Parts: sequence; C-alpha cells; structure tokens
Amino acid sequence: MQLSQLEYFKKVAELEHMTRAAIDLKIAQPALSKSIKDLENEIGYKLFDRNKKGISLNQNGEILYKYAKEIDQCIANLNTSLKKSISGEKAILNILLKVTPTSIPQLIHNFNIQHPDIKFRITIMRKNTKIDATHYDFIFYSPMPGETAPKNAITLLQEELVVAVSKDHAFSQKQSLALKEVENEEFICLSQEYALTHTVNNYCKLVGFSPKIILQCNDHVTMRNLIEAGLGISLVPKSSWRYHHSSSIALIRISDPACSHSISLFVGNGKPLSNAALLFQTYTLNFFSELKASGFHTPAVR
Amino acid sequence: MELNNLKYFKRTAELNSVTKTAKEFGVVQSNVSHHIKALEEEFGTVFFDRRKNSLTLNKHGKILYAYASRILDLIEDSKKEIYDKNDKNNNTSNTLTISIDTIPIIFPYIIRGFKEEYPGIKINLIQYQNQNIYDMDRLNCDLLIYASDEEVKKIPNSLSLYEEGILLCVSKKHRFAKRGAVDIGELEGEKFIQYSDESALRKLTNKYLGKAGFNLTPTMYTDYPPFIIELISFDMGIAFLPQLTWKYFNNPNTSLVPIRNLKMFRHINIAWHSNRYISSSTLLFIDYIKNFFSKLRMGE
Repeated sequence: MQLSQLEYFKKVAELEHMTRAAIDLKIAQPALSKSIKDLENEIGYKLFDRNKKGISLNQNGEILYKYAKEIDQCIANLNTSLKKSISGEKAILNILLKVTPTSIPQLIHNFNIQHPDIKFRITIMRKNTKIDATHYDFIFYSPMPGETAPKNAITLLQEELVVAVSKDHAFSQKQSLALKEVENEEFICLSQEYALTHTVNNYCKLVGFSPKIILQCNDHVTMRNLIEAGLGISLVPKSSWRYHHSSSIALIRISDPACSHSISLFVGNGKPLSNAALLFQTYTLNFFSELKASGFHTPAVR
Repeated sequence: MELNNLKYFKRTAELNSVTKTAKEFGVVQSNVSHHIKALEEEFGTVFFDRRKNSLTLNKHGKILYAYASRILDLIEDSKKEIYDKNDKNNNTSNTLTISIDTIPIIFPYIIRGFKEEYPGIKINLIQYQNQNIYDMDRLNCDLLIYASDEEVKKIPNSLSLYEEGILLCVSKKHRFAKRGAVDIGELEGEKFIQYSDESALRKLTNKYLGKAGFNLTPTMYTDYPPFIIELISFDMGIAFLPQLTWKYFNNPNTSLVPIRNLKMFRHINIAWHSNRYISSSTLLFIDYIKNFFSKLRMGE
C-alpha cells in the first residue's frame, strides 16, 4: 500500500465520482481507477459498489475511509510537530569570533533584517575564553601566514595590510614603503587577543625585526585615536579599516613583502547544517563577495 | 513520504542499526539508507545521531518514530478490521500474536483448547525479555500475559484472570512437611532452590521478601518447574511455588506449606491495546481465557 493510494481513495470516497476525483487530484482517470483497483486487490475486498449510476462506498470502504482520515490527520500532525521541533531548535546560531573584522556587525545586522526569527549567540574569544569548538555553528578566524586551512573552512576575505600613520608623520607623503623601513617606528597595536596583532608580529619577524610596541589597546577606535594623535604607527587591513578611517590618518601601501590578513569562516563541526545555519552561511559568503566587488568603499590609499 | 520509508525508518530506530535492518528485511544496506535519506530530505533534517556503528533517534527522530508507528499500525488495523467484517463464521485465518512475560504452567492447555475450538486462528507466541511491559501500546502484539503482585491498573486495558498463592514447597521428609504453617523466621538458613535473575516469579517473590526483610540462602538456581519439584522431592532444597504449578505436577513426595506471616500472591493478567483495533480473534481469545480461569476457580 502507498500513502498516495490512500489519498486517492479518500478523495474518491468523498466525491463518489471517479471523473471528478481525478480532476481534483490532477491525475488521469485511468491512473486513478487502476490505483483504486490495486488497493482493492491488496486488501482482498471491494471498497466500492459499482452500478450504472456510478460508484458508492460500501461497508469495507467505510472502514478504510475511517482509517484513511485518521492517517491523514496523523500526517498533518507529524508535519506540524516536526516543523515546530525543527524551527525551535534552529532559532539560535552560536558564533565564535576569534577575529573581529569590523564588517561582522554589519553582516549580522543585515542578516537579522531578512531573518528576524534567527537569533545569534556571539562569543568573542578572549585570552581566558574556554572554548568547546563543537558548540559553535560558525567560527570566524584568521589563519596565520603559511597556515594550511582545515576542512570546512572558507576564506571570506583576504585583505592587504597597509601602514597607518598620522597625517603629520614623515611617511604620510610616501606612495609606498618596504616593511623593513618601519623597523624603528613605535607601534600601536591591538591587544594580544586579536589575530591581527599576531599577523603583524609574524610579518615583522619575517623581515627580521620585532615591532617596538609602545601601546596596546583593546579596540579599533582607541587605536585610531592614538595613531591620529601621532603617538605611533600601525599595520591595518586596508579594506575594513574604512569603518574607522579618519582624514587625519594616511594609509601607505607596503611594497615588500606583500602583507595580507585573511578572515576565514569555519563551518559547523562536521554535523549537518541546520536550515538557519545554511541560510547564514550563504548569506555570509554573498555578503563578503559583494563587499569585495564594491571595493569595500575603501578610503583612498596614496 | 512512502509507507516503505516509514517501515525501514521505524525498524532502524528499533534496532539502532542500518546493517541489522537490512539483514532483517533481506535487502542491501544502501536500500535502507536510501529510505531514511528520503525522509531526511523531505523534512530537511536528520533523525539520527550517528555514533560509531550505532544510530540513535534524535529529538526530531523521536517525533517521527511516534507518528510512523501510529501510521503503520493504522494501516495494519484497517486490513484487520475489513477482514474481520467479512469473516462472518470466525473461520478467521488471522494471526494472533501473544507476548508472554509469565507463563502459567497450564498455559499450553489453554492454547491447545483454543486451537481446538478455532483451528483457523494462527497463534504466534513471543517471549519478551527486559521490555517495559507496561508500555503495552508499544509492544508489537495483540495480547500480553503477565503476572503482578496486586491487581494492577498500570495497563489501561488489563484484566486479572486468576489469583494464586505462592507457598513454600518442601519434601515430604522435610521437618516442615507436617506443619500446618511456618513462620518466615524459621526459614533462616534453609537451602533454597532459587529462580534465575530474569524470572518474573523471582522478581515478584523478591518484592515480598524484601518488604519482610528476609534474605534467602540459595543452594542452586533454575527456572524449570519440573526440575525444581524433582529436586524438592529428593529433599535437596525448598522453594517458593505458585499453587497452580504445584497442583499441576501433583508430586506425592512434596508438600505445600503456607507461611503464617508472609502471604504472597500473584495475579495472572491479560492486557490488550488501548488505542488500536481489537480484532475478533483477539476478543475470542480473551473470552476463552477468561472462561478457562473461571472454570479453574470453580475447581474444574
């Protein structure tokens, strides 16, 4: 027996008319007749009385009709219960930020407008954060230079690093410079918890010095203000820096080596993605590729 | 969604394994996986937590399981009910599935008598082990025979058929044999022939003995009544025996002695489903077994 057979049977039983039932069900009448005959053969008894006037449900048909209705109800309840259970579970996305690109608040904001039912639980990784990676649907992180990407990781963005200096700084008129040239500069960095700090450190080491860090701060805004005030310089991602850009800061391209900072998305933990997670993943990929395409509305780099 | 999807899904959930399900249905594993995948794709979720070689239902899977079982039951019941309605002479060739948690010693006679009266009805006996018998609607059977120490109301459609005492069976040579009754305290140090851990009778007597604070000293373990009675007749130990069992073997070298301060009883009960079609052969069997035990009570 097939559930579709029962559905057809139920319709024929209600209308007691083959042709009308076939129209309602949007199937060909011979197919409907065959389905009913097959059902009668399987059960071993006729379900309808057939005469010149047409067909009518007999005693056996009445019994089956009673069951067909209950099965129908069961299927409807199953659908409702499952939908409820599935949507209930998927309403919250757990996100871990090991890196805090400035575009993420924008991303979450935009996504939330389109999918207001999906809530976020965002954890920002600090030095002492204990993490159970399996707990998160998504992890945003920044791979270190040379690090191979794990499976399930997608590169969202690869940004060029540039030197940020105060407009009053001697470098501010330069078109580009080699990283080695900033060896003796005093650096303002984000604290060690930021992936960017490690990336900058790594590049400096690569060209043979370790940056003289005179100030470490906990957020981009403070860092910007410190650079603006001419207290030091820093390396910043060219594109996302626009969120903090100020006209009193100059960004200078690094000609040697090419320095970049990537943001990757680590997806799930091997578990199949929930609907909400799938939506978010697609949305995030689109968001970043649009961001790239629009040139980030990047402040001009001289 | 197809009935076959549900059928394979349900069995996989019960066996926690695609391999076992495939073996049981005589199909290849990929066939079973395909049915489950079809459901998962249809509902856009997964139903199992996959760990090593074992599958367990997740939250959504449990919901699907409940409905899948109900739908498959309804399909089966619809056929049964139509069949019954057309089978006016009870020449029914329906199969009656009876699961047995406790087998009263006279049970084979009941089956024989019923088969003589209704030769068309096939009887399928299942012995359940370690199943929660109180979840009758989950058991895959028409009827359940079980014992209890009191008249239970835990199973909605249940009937107590017979109440019998559980007494102390001793050899005629034993010092208790001539006594009208003994005290529980006097059993201290007596060698008992004990039932195995799984035995329903053992569980039942344990409950009574626990309340009375009595620990018996086992000398050997066995569940086979003829053997127990033989051993007792050689005075190799004593045992608790249901009255009917003792009467049935009618061994002249044994006596049944009541315990003055510990009255143990067991009820033999029959239960049927509360939310399913009760086939006419099921009803016939309930009637038959009711009559059988009421005749027994009247000493026939």
